[in-house]
Amino acid sequence: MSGDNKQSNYSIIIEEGKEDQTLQREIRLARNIQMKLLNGSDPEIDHTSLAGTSLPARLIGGDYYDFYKLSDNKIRVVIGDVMGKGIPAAMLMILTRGAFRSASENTQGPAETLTAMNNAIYRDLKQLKSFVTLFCCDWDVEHNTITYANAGHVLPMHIKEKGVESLETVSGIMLGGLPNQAYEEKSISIDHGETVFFYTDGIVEAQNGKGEFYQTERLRNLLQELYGNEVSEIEEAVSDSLFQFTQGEAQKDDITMVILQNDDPNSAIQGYNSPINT
Amino acid sequence: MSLEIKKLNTDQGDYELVLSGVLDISTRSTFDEVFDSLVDLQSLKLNLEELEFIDSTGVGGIMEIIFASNERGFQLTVLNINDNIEEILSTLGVFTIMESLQVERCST
Repeated sequence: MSGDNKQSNYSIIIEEGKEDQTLQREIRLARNIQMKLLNGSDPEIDHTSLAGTSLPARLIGGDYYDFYKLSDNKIRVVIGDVMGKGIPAAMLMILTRGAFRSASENTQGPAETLTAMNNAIYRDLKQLKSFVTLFCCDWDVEHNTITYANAGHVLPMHIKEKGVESLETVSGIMLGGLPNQAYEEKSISIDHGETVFFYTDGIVEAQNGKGEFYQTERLRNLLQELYGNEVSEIEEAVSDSLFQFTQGEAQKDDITMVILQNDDPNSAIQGYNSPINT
Repeated sequence: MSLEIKKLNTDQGDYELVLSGVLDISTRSTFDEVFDSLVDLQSLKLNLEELEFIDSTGVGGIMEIIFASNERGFQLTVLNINDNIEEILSTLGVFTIMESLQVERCST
């Protein structure tokens, strides 16, 4: 090998090193953007507690949740999961976020929102061979009801004094599965002191060193024990339980939870981070 | 955990893939490679009886085959879906998509 070649190879290695550093920096910036968009301020609502948190398995992830203020003391809540992990999923998560905010401005209910979102991003998802699961609901503060629709997402759990049960099934497929989809809508009452726990499958599919899954039943039992606790306490208890179960095993999937609790019948939305629909 | 795929070639262009183990982000490329290796594909049976776990990336792999069967015109049958996998596919709406695209689902 000649001296010139050595020089040339050395230059290439230096350039590759710079590229790695640039890539790492850009990934960190992307993570910051995503975490700020995702984990913004939780809405402040009189006598209603609402909080969300998301922890990606990698530097950035494909889980998503959001809140959007509606008129008439209602707030729209969405939680979702983009197929895959890491940077590709994060890019599609941002696409989903834009579709949700745009659809929420122009639609009347969660079912209509999911239909509008599917119409908006179906072709992109099909082309990219991906899909998104989403659960969307409107929390009516005055009437203590949740009206919901589902696009292939795991159903939230309703924590009541008598027990914990998944919300009743509504028909609806993932976004990106088929075009022109209609989504079924149902409503339930959330009485005072009751809580709705929204989540992504990263919780129940968390694994310990033996390869065992956390599983839905373990989550259900834990949530039953937590009836009467505040939202922050529930969030912390679920996180602690996951940590104890996995015993430091690497997190394989993004983990996201949103917790909504009805504290009082006369609640009213005061203001929060989401755009205001006037 | 890994994915094992038994490839059975019953006749010219007729295949059965028997999946066992885990179909997730770590094994998806293996799944895709095996599917891509099927020559002159006329019909495919996808046997999921021994599949222990599937994540969204794995479901994406099955969805791609479902869409490919519709676009390329080969016959696809999904066989022996166990309870764990059935619940996941059902929640996502995969069976609705299969019905819409006339993909057969049965038990042997």
